[in-house]
Amino acid sequence: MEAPAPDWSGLPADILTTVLQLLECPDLLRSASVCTAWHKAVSVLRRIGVCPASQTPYLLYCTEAAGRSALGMYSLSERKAYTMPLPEPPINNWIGSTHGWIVTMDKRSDLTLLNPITGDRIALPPATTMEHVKPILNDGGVLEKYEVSYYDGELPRVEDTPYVSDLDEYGDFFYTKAILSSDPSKGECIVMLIHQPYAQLSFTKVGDVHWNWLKICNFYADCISHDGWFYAMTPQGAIDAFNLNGPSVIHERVLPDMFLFGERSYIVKAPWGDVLQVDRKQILDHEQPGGETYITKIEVYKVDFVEQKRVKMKGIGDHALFIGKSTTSCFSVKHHPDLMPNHVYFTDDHDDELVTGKDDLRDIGVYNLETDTTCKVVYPEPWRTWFPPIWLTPNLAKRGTVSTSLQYIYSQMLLVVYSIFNSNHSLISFFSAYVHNKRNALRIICVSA
Amino acid sequence: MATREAGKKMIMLKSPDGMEFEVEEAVAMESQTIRKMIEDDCADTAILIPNINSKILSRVIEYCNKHVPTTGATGAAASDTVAPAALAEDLKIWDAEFIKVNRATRFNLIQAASYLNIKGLLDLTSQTTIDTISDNSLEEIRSFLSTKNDYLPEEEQTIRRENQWAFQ
Repeated sequence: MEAPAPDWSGLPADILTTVLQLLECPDLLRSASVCTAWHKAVSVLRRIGVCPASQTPYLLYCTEAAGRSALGMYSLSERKAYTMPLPEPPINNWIGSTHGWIVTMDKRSDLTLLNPITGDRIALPPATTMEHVKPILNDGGVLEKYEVSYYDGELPRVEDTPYVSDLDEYGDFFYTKAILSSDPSKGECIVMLIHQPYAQLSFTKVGDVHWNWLKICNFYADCISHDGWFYAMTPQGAIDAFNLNGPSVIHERVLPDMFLFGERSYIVKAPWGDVLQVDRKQILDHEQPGGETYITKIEVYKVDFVEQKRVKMKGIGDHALFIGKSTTSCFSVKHHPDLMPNHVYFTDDHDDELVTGKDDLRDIGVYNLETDTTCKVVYPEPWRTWFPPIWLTPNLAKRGTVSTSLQYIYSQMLLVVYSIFNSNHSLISFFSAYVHNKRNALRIICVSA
Repeated sequence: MATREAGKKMIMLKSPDGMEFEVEEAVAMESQTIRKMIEDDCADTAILIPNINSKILSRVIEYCNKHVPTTGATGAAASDTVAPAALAEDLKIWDAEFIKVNRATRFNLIQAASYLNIKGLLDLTSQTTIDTISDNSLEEIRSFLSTKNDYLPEEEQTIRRENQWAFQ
């Protein structure tokens, strides 16, 4: 006979958090409803922001049924679709997804960071603060259209006839992709934007009031962020590194052109340390009659920075790649057993065709690097074709509650101090200041030292 | 329990209910907690494990015995060798059988794995638990894990409403 089962709500908090942080996002959120002890454990996990590491990507999309009030979310781990309500205001399109935040566009093409799981939003500077955009106001002084310059950075500055764009149309045509340096729930974050004309770069820091243009005279196909640097890749495979943390921009070319021209290419830092380049092409399918059927062909290359060359890889072993409008990423199948090893999960990101063919079928699927074949993510495909689906790795951390490591140490100090001097309120408020403002905290420490 | 073999250092583990288990040092050192005690010279000939009863401790030793790297002359050298794929597959099957235990034992094993800091056992017991959570409704989770719902009905409704989409 089974011994009387112990009450699992009595599991020590540290063990409970160890177990719960292995859960995928919906399971974790459901677990909070089991009992108050579990709710507390889930809240702690969300506060210290440890959840994202274990999350498997979802495909985020619009549906006919939900219109603009909700998003579809297809879980690759559960092979199940969720419908998630979307708070007002409605979004018009998205151009990036990193650390669980999507970069959304409103009807004026202004950009906002949105965490769809927590509902947190962070407004970025308006489009009118971009180098290439001038506002056109109507007689009443209200913003009506944008005048877009075609300047590419060459000197002397010569202006072609500018393009006049509707407010909502500007972003659809001119924004290519946005990449975040880090999780904005945890503090500072830089947003890099690849934009037209000529696939140039502009960036802004969260909290700044304008966009900064990087006058490099180059086209870029993709960009990633690693260790405080952005690595932007050209369609020829050249890589430029940018450090945007100081008062002036540091720019270094770390890899020269690798080939003549790629259709669509991506850059990613693999978990095992190598930098990879991914080429994606549409090639004619010779097995289909008529010569009009195209199939996807994906190749992966490893960059050798010492020899300044790239080497074609046979496969990526126990890993899965994610490419599209989201930040290019690589997951270990050991940690995400529901993903298919040696496969590339892709969404449609063919800029011109996306906008001109809003009703066209989307090129979304999973590519097997061994057999060079593609299968569907899910069938029937539940998404509306506009705006096109994007990968999202959920992030449950509520903004403003996440402790950075330094803040975490001080919050622990605060607890200790609190237990010793729990009657001394002035001391408590003094230490509270440490926790709430990292910079002030450092200053106070320097002064008191 | 483990029999003494020539050249292998043995350690005595004692449970609070008075049972003694003689195990190879390498087996005991699968536990990072015990490893630290041995490395810091805090371990006498016998180590008392204060909060794990003999029934659970014997299961934990069984797990460590199976998982201690088998090749190599000494424990230290053995931990550097990588088990071949076939061996890893065998271990997986063994683990699946090992964890087929009642809820009370699983509850105690997870606590023991955490206290003794045995990563593999903690992963195994945690994974089995999250499988329960992933595959079942709230009511089933509460029933399987004998977790008391201590919410007021309206409290539970509020918490549920915050993330209603996750309940689809």
